[in-house]
Amino acid sequence: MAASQTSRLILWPTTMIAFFVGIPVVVGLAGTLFPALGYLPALGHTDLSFKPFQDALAAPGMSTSILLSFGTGLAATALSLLLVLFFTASWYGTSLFQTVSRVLSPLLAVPHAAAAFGLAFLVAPSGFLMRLISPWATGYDRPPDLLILNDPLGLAMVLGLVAKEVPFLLLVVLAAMPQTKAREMTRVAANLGYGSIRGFFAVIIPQLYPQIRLPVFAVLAYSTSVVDVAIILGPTTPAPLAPRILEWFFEPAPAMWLQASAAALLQVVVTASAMLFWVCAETVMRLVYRWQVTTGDRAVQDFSLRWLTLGFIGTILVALLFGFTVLAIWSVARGWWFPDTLPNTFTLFHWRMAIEDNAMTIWITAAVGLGASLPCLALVLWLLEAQTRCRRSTGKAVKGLLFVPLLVPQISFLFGLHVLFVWLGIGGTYLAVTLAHLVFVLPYVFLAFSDHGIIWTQDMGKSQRLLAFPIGGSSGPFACPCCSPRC
Amino acid sequence: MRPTSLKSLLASAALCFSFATSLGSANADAWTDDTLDAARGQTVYFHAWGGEQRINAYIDWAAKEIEQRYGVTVEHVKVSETGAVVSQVVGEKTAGRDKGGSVDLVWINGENFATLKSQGLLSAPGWAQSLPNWKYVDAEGKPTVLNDFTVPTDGQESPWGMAQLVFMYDTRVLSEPPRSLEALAALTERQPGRFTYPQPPSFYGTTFLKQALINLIVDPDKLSKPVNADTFEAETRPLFAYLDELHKNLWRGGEVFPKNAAQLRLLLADGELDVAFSFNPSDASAAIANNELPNTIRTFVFDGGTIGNTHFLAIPYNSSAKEGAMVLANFLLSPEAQARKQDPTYWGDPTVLNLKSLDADDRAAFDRLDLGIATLTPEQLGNTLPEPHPSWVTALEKAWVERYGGN
Repeated sequence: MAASQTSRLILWPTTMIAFFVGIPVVVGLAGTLFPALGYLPALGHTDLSFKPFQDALAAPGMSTSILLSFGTGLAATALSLLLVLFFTASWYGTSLFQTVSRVLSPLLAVPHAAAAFGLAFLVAPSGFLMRLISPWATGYDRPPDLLILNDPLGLAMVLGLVAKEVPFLLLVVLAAMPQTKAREMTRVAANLGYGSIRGFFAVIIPQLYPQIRLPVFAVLAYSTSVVDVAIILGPTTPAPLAPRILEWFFEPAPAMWLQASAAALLQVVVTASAMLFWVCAETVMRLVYRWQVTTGDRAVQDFSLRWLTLGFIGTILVALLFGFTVLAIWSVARGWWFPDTLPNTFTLFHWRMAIEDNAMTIWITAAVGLGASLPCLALVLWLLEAQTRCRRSTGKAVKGLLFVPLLVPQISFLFGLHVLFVWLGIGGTYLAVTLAHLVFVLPYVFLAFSDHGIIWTQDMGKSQRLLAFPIGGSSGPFACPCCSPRC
Repeated sequence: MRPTSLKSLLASAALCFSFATSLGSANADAWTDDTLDAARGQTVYFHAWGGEQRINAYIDWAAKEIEQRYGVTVEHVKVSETGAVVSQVVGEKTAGRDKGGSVDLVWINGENFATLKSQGLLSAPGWAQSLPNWKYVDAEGKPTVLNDFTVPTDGQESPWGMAQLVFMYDTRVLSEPPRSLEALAALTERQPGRFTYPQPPSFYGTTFLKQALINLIVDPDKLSKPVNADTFEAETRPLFAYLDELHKNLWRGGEVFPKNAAQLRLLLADGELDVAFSFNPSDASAAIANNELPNTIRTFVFDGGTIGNTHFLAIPYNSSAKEGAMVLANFLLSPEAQARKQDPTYWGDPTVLNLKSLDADDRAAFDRLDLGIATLTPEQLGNTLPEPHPSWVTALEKAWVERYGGN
């Protein structure tokens, strides 16, 4: 195949992906920048200034909000990653590991808000767990006045985020594992007398981590700028940065939008700072690793650590499933008050009303979802097929570009993106909503299909072709045959 | 949660980047003999808060009646924040969309109405009084039907229902409810952690602040005028002194506040709170009937009365179905629709009509209503205290956040 033909083959899908992903983010950010600098001709603001930034920073409790976003995001990401790595190190290759990953993968489809509500119903002072043991064990016939949810430090919010990010990161790790030659290498480590966790960290992590690094950064970006989980489980006096920005965009006083735009860009700075902090932490960890790996310590006794890790993962699994069950009971409950363990009466009223009220919305949601997913699926398959034919792998630039929407906080560019849509004359239409979704669906479809194919081999090309069809079945896009340790 | 937020976010975006400056001139609209004919075949996009199933079902009923009787289609656009509708209309105006606007009728009052009115974004004055059913409206007995948070309505919005702050308590816990701010503070001192209010700027939280301000301000007359930034601090000093004390004994020590009225009611139902409140006098009865509250809940008001207001329906200047919107507003003002609305089985929202002006049959429909076990009679509800000028709301919310919202 001639070189020019090769590049043309790949050029088209690459350009289209760049167009759908890059332009919205760049234009969106620019559209937020102008009002953040005080330029808003429609409202008579034409003088460029830093006043919106000053106003945003002067808002009561702003430093606390910023610290909360920074701290909860980093804590949630670090905890999730550590749990997943320790769990994989402890149990990879066992049937227990396979079972847990199989149960976890559908949980990825549970919306963050639903998971957060489920957890809230579970652990609140009037929640299901307290009802199970009240009043017989606790003596409470009224819920105790305990600060569990929405605590000022954001601990509940961190735990809620961890519960949702662990399934995601675990599946990312699963997709990357086949390229690490884990079975052979851990066997060698074991033969040299290393404990399984220790051996995994010594020989697998250095190959694994570079491959999951971008998804980890996506988790970090998401956690530092999350809105729904923060509203449900996070502190409110003050709230983290992202929910406050949204509140300001809601204000009827249009002058607040300048301040909101400035804060939306501050959100970019906060998320970027968290990433910078993470990069520094990576460097420190690398030094620790170098020093640790040469000490000769083989940490053979890791029995308790392995079971502790399993305990944490198991708790998350049970909490998510249990929370979801409680949510389901609430949806058919009538008159379910503390300390009743179960509702007095059951009803389908809420379901009937929800369906009647939202009949159209449900169909529109499905249509928008399909409308965004199908073109992404086609684009990604096109790109991968072109690469397979040309025996090329996805370049770093394209891969980085694809991750941009997951690394830049949504709240910082969606506002400006709408401006582009209005300018194109499609503002407020379903087409605009679908296009906006495309920006986020494309990276995930790419991630689902191609992460195991970063290093191109003949076999990989084959499995990509095989994968094109079974994927999307009942077990979700990540539970592909290729994720099992055998391949 | 995210899609709604995104939607309103996007709606507000339109405003910022449209460069059109043309001033659309509103047509002179009022009810005429041709209104019904012109309305036939129109589709009215009715933007109304959609957070309560009973209310949605009531609107659904009205939509079906209107379709059948007048051939007008009504689409209930369920909104979570009326402020987003205001942004949408403002956005359309700056984008030069002076005709064919996306909002035909909006459920509104207070600050949002003041914003639309001051920006000239409403249908021309006087249409409300031109409605055939206006003659039943109790303008004398309920002066707030003409003054929305002290702002004259000028017939640019048609009254729909009345609201008054009522407190709810559980008779299993309290034998005698606290009928004043002082009694409430004393109760929280006796039983810490069993009272709270939704976090301002949530509507219900702000309402509680306004009630407390009316009770505590030295010169209540000042509340009917725009707030004076220079004297605001001195005027609200008694309020914040009271709140400082109260917060020590609030639910969760005042570190966390409920998000809205629905959460407040849930906390009362679970026994987390001794006292909660609502802005609809028959809310408790309706919730008991729906099994959303235990049947031991009763309501009460403060001895000097509680704050109350009227909620309205307004037509934006660029509505594409003004006649249809007027037909809907007129129907919702009819004795038939108002009686059904006041029935707690359907909604339980007090009427804006003067019952004495109705003919015998219509009056009987109101007399037959069972207002429910937890609803106070009009005599028991006592004085309705007027809302402060809207500018107080903004100032109060800001002062609250500065004091308690950013530790």
